[in-house]
Amino acid sequence: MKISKASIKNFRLLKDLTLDFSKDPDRPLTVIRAANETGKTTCEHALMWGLYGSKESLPNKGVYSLFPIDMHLEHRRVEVSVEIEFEADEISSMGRGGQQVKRSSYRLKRSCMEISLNGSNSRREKEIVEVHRLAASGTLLLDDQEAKKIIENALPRDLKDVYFTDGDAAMSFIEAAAAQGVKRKRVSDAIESLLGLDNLAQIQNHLKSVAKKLSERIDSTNYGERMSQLQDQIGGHEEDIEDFRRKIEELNVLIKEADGNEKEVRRKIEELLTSGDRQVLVEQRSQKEKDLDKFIRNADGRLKELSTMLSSETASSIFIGDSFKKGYEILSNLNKKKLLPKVNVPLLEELLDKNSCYCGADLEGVSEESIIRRKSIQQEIESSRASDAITEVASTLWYQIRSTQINEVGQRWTNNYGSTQGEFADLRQLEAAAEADLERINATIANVKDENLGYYRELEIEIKAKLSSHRSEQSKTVAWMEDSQQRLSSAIVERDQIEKRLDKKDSGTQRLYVARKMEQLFDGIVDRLKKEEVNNVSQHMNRIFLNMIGSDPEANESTLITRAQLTENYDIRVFGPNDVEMNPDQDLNGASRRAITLAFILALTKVSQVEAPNIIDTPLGMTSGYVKQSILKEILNEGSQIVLFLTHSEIQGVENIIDKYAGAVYTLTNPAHFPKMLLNEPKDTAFSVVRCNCDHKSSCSVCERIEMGSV
Amino acid sequence: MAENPFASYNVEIAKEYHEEMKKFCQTGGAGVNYEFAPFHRMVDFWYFCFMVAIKEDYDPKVLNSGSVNITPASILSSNPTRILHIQMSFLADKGNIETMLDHRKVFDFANMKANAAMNHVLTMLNDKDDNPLWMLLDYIEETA
Repeated sequence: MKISKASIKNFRLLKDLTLDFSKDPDRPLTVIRAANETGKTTCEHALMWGLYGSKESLPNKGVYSLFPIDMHLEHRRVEVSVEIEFEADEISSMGRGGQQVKRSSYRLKRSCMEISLNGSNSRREKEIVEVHRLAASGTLLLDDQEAKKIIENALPRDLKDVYFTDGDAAMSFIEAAAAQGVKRKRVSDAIESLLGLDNLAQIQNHLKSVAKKLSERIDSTNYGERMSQLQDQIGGHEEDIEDFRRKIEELNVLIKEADGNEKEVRRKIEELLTSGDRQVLVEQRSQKEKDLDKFIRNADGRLKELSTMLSSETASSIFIGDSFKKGYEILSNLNKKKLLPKVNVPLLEELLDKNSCYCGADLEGVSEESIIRRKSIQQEIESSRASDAITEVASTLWYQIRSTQINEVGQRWTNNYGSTQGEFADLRQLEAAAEADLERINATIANVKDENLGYYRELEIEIKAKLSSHRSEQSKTVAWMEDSQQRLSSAIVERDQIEKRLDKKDSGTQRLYVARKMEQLFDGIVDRLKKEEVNNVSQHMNRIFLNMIGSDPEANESTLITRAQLTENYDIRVFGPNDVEMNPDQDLNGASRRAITLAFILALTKVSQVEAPNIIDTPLGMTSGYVKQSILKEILNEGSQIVLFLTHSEIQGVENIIDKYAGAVYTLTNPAHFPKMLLNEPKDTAFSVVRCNCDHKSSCSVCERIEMGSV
Repeated sequence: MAENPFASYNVEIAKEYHEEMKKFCQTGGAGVNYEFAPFHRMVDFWYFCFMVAIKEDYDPKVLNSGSVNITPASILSSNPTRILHIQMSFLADKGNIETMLDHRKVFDFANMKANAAMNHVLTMLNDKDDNPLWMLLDYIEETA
């Protein structure tokens, strides 16, 4: 099959787009240049939808709105259509066993009505497909049955995921995020699609039902009924066992996922807990705040003490010291002269109160002499008053200062200053340390996210519950499977015994025997087919992969990757020197990982021997240099018609190959990229991808992009 | 409590220093801690200036008529040593015990001495090398 042209209308952001494809065997490559968010994947979906319809080709089993996102407001319903013109070989009978292979052209048109709901979702109605055979004599509308047959022969739906490939999605065959069972299932599904095992399974079921019918016929009076029952049981047990096995495998995947999730949640909880328990931290903060307050108060107290030292008695003594000494000398001299305290007035007044002096002289004031003496004392009292006042002041001062220690006050003050200042400095250090502690505690508290802790704890409970439920379901299923296996082997033993007892000449038994042998034979064939084809795919994959990465272990023993293998268990394995196994997802670089997955897909197409276009989205992402070129060359080597959706950066470095092998190159542009990524304002502002005929080296006013360096 | 011979007088400072002085006194509304306002009361500031003037032997500086009365000198009753040291300084300065009889003169002497050192003390307090408290304490330590 080769696709010639596709016209897409109103399919999401592809309002009206025509894609044409090169059919030239010398130039089998079609390059559709498109930046990210320009509808590359949508183009693939549109082509697959055209060929296979909603359920088979669209995400979410077809529950996927095709309604153009910007048309919800203006249009209640819109017609979506994809028209594909293609060529395919048609095998027609020529009678007497003869067949003719004839290449014909067809036009397939799938259309539907999308009805807008709630302005965002849509409902699909009237999905119809029409296939016309195009001939020189005119077009002929084929009936549904024939149309299906044509499509199925051209590109079997089981192989659609192999021929329509997304370079990133293909990585899922090896990605580490998937459990081993999941990866294995993806690979085995691809292989089984390739081998058409659906058909083989139908044949196996048919053989089983034949054996069952035959067993029902034999010896109905004696063992027939029992044989029939046993056959029923065996079939039932086999189906059950298969169901149980599938269920266990699914549960294994779920358990592994839940287990991983639980570990991740636990790790997050532990991480949160190591940042601290908020309650304890709050208590610590409260204590630290009290300490800090105490240190600040004590330090302030010391400052106050220090301030009082400025004008304290000791400080005053230091400053006044010299003056004090001078004054002291003055007073001391007075004291030495016995002038301190020398107060006359009280003594003289005391004499006047008496009748005689201390010396015995008469002071009664009767005699003339005594009157003169009294007058003399009175005069002396008056003249002593001023000097007495002076003496009183001096005496007061003297009595105050004579016990005052003015010496060594400096040393005393300095000692006191030193110790108080030392205490203050210590307190300031404690204060700084407490502040630092408080800051640290506050920072820790700020980092403790209680809400997250609560969320993760709830999540952990939820995951644990799921895990427990899965495990219990699994052990229950394992028990049921073991029970079924036991019942199956008992039934087989009983059946074999009955068969032996039966008359070997009985034709019914003979037929049953043959049917059973055929069943076994067919099982063996399927098994061998699987193994052979897996080996076949493995060999092609190895060859393509080594070519892609430029590895030649025979020419160079020190090459890092020596071979790749697809095992009978559907594991993709890569080996290094000395046949040491490497983990494709961890030990390979991005380019090699892409190469191994593309090599696997190309090997499948090779083995399938179906001639169909390889339509690959972003095949050269993460690659560069030699590997990028050789991946493209290998794709060209292995395919008959290659359609690649490439970003601008993917094109860099492979322009020469495109020059040589591309029969068609054009560009898709999303006008919504203006003005951030597109240089020119689009003429039509409608939300739709547009095509221009610019090839991988040119650009026009529609597709010219802003150079990243100038952004 | 010893008798305060200056109880009827006032502690006075020159008007020009009043606002600046308040910045360094807790009761002056400084609103900062003792490191930056090292004096509790304005009278403590005044007395510190008096001590500095004695030590530095500044000539008494007459207060002009616009001087500010910051507190009654009766406040000195709670610090009798200050009274004694003022008297002793005055005695040392005059060398004559008789001059001590005029308490007004003694206290004028104290006011004028304090006024004489006011500029020096404010300069120390405004020195950017260290906080005011430490400047003054270090000054005392050097003196001691």
